[in-house]
Amino acid sequence: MTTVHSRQEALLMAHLLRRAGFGATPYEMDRALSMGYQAVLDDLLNPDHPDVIPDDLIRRYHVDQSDLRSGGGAHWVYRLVMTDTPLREKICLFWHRVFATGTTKLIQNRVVTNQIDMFREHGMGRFDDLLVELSRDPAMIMWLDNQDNHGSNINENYGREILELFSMGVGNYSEDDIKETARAFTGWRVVNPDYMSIRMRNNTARPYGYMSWQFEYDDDDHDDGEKIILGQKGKWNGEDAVRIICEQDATARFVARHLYHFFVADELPVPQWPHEEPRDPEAIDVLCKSYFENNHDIGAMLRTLFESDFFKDAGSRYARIKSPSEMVIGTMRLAGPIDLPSEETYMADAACANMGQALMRPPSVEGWQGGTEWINTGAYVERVNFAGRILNDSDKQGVRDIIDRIKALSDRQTITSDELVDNCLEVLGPLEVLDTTRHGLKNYASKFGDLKWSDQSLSSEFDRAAVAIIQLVVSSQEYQTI
Amino acid sequence: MGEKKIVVVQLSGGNDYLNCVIPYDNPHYVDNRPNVRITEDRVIPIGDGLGFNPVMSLIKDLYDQGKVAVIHGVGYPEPNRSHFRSMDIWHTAEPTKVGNEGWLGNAINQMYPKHDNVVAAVNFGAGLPRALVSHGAPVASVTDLNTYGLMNHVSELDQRNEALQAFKDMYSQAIGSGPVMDYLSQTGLDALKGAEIIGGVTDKYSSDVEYAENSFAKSMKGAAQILQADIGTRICYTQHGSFDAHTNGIALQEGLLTDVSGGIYDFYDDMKRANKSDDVIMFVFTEFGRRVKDNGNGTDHGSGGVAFVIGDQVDGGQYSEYPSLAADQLLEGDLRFNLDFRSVYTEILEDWLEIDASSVVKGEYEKVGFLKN
Amino acid sequence: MTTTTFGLKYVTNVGFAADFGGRGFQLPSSMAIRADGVIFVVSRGKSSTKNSNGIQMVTKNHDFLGQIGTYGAGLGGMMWPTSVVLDSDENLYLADEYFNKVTKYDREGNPLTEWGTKGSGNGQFNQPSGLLIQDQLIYLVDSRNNRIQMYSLDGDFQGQWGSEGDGEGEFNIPWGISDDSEGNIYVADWRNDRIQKFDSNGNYISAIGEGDTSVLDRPSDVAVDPDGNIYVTDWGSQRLLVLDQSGSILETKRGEADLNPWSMEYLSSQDDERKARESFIPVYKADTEDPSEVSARMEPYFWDPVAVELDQDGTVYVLETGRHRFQIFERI
Repeated sequence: MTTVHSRQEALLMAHLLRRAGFGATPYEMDRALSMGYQAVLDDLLNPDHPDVIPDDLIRRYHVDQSDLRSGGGAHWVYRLVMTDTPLREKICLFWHRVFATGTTKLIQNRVVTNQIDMFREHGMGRFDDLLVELSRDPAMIMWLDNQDNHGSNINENYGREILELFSMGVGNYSEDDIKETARAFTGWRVVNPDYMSIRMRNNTARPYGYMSWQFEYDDDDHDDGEKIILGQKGKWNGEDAVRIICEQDATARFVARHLYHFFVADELPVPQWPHEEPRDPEAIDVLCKSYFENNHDIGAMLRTLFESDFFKDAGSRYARIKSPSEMVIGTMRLAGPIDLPSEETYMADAACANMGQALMRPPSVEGWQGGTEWINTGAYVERVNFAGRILNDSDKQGVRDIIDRIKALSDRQTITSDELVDNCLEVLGPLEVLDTTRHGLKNYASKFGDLKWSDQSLSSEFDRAAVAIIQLVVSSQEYQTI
Repeated sequence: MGEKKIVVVQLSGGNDYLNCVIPYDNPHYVDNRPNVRITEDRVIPIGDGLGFNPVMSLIKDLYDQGKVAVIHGVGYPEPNRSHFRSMDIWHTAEPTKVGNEGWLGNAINQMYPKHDNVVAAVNFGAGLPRALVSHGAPVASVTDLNTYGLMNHVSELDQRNEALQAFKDMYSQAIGSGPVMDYLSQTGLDALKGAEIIGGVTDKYSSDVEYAENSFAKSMKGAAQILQADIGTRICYTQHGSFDAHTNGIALQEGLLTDVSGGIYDFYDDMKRANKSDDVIMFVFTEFGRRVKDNGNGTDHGSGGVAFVIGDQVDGGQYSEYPSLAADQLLEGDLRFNLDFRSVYTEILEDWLEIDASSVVKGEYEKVGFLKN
Repeated sequence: MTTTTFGLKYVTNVGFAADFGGRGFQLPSSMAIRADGVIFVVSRGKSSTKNSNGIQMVTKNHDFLGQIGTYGAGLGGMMWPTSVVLDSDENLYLADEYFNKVTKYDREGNPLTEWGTKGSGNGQFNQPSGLLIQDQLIYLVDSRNNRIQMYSLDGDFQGQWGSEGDGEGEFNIPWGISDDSEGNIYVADWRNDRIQKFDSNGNYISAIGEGDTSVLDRPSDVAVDPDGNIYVTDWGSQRLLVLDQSGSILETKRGEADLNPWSMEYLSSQDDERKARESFIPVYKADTEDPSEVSARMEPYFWDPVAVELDQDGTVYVLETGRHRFQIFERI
């Protein structure tokens, strides 16, 4: 290392990389520190390179990820672990939580994967564009029954949820607004709606496997009469409804609160938002202002957020409980790259589910509430055991790098057990922990005494000690937070 | 009698009712199942023109002893043919809206409102079935009882014990450093405590019963080990499958029913020999039955199914009625249910687990009467 | 040799999405045709459903005859089967890229022996993807080692050629393999977007679809008829291409499957699906350029064509992983 960076710089950078990504390996941390906070943020928000994932290899060697009848979660896990555009993936996870759509009803994984691809493309753009794309998204149309929303006979499900769950939140619109919004979206459906609906209802891939869906607008089925949506009168279609929704203060506030909840600190569960003030009302105001000043651009709101004092404040560090996906992906990235999607990715997808966040299978349209709801005894055992198991092998490239870095932090060929703990916490973050935790780790490490790596047998003994400490660190309460 | 316990057996994927409890001399059965039919010569008759699948002879043995209640035509209004949704309905007892809490999770919270029994429920398998999930309800999920525990990746026993001691120290000393950290620490300690209790049961267990070599038998043996150890576990949850036999219908179902029958019989036998069969019942269900007409090589998703309750305290026999197979009585080609599953739940919750059922199933449902008084 | 009036017409298809064995396939990866017309189709199966793989035996007339082998690590078992082939005594050979082994079954489907371990040495492989038998010699495509290996019918290593690269005789993750009536060997050099032709000793002869202007996009398998016409399942573009020896396209097929008898029987037991299918438009205007996504939407089209085989009458069989079936074409 040529430049010495202050501890505060390092702590802040680690915070940014955990929140806007999935944490950092020692090398990623070096690179980030040499670039500086602002340049790292620019790169996260506007990566100057496309994220290259070898699609043909995935489809050839992991065949069920080709038809994506199942395995969608594993497919995504592979991307999440391997991506070098982590904020783009994180924003996909964010929208997946807000616009929660599940294969549980849709049966096929491919259409949900296509929806996630759409988030990847539009997730950091204008909110208006995102909502129009969402309204055209075949998975969303079938998820919320908009193929049954006819000009002659409305189904108000999508009209309701776009207002309640996707843009404004309860209490900011009337039942009439719901019906009128539903009317605006009549005729927004998928090709072959009847057959596709029956196949979905019957949960069938027969006779010849699943068929991916495509959006279709049927003008004949659209109610082109006059509508009043949130006080504005006109012959509105779906795009108009989205425009009107996106002009609302409530929408800015709802998006701001979600962003805060996901990127800054755990808020109360969403259903309580109409009744409870935000944790940090000023922060929400700042984000709302950014929304309107930047033409509803989500990327601009994220920039505001990551540049703000409320984000950088030490009180925001570890103010969220890690979601299962953050736990799984962050730990796997620490362990190092994976070659192709493999059994490891299926196992990682299953681990997310076992901890309570089955990707592409949210428990309901309300997604996951997060916070302490992630934590119960069953999930706790899964979390501790998963992290320990993934980092159990000093031959994995990432674990090797961590161990080498722990050694490099000492200028001698020896290290005390206390230093082993301190260095380990430094390399794994830097990870800030309670004094009691640090003490507990050191107490445990003391059995190793002073450690050397001057010959082969001492070196492998050192590896074992380091792995044992790494495993205990990732089983700490602090590692459950982010 | 000690505390009452239940083992739930979930047959995932939709167990074909018509080939499990077979209306073998019903002409509609013969007509609708040209390809996927159990012929009369293979059926094990149980009376009234019905018979068990040929691989269920061990269940027939228990049935003859009066230990098995066969509950016909169980379902719910407006049947859903999605595995996931239908299973979710059974798990949450909410047929009309998406529920968040599981019926057994709610039961645990009612039995232990202070969450002070960390091993009240044990699931065999990875993750938690929705039925057991309710905020705050502690549930353990065991994939292999022999290796179950916190930090089971540390293979060396002494080292693992030291790590667990360090875990305990770190976690207990952190209590008092803020609400979130306290919640994490307490849950971590509860998880450790539960794991220690459950991890100890295999040492105490000895039995002459030899279970088969399959995942279901392994789960049932695990349930026997846990329940015989009297650690306070009231609910064990197991599942087997997948019964989703769109093709290869008969062979697939018979293979799985062989496992299920053997596992249930061996569990009962094991508990009986340990003098603990009085305290436990088994409840066997599936998310739906299958389509009346076969598709040439298998059967497709249907509605209306069969459930079983098995144990010493069960008043054996047949309950409710077999739904009609006549074409004009079918609902879109499926059997019409004639008993709401929440009636079965109500009886289990009130008369077995002795808690209030109406708050769990959200309503009043008439009991079926399969439990002895 | 070639005629200018080459053409293929669709005849029928055989298949059905089967999840647990029985009549149909699950993500099939390879097929072989026995002289008596029995067709062996390997289902690779879903990762999540362990007993969904096996070798199904069918005929082109929609007879289902049974299954050989299933999931498992023991002799005769499989995990990720990739290729099946017959020898002149009608024994069956199956390559598996999870276990990195080849299993030999007798004519009745009893497993006889197996060989192979993971590695890059002689007699080892890293994800075998294609098998060919010619004159008592097995040619095995060792995909991740970018080479072709030769074995005796009992698994004794006999030789090899090839290495990673895009030059003559080099490969980039090759896939399928076949030969012509003169004994020349053709390899689908998958990630080089070409077919390479060798003599039976592995000496390079020519390449078809070479370079940036290649008409091929990730070819998965190849077959050659007695006239020297080359049939390629072009996996990336989701088409069957027929080329002459100079690489000019004689015929292109996108697939046109209709309902086969198994499917009709299925639908006859599903009133609601059958009725809804009456208004179903199988081919519509797609709003995407991605051939894989188009295939995922259009039921009649090939979706991930992975194998092309010719029978002794010159009938063409195209196996599709994504649609759990093979389509049959005849010369016109």
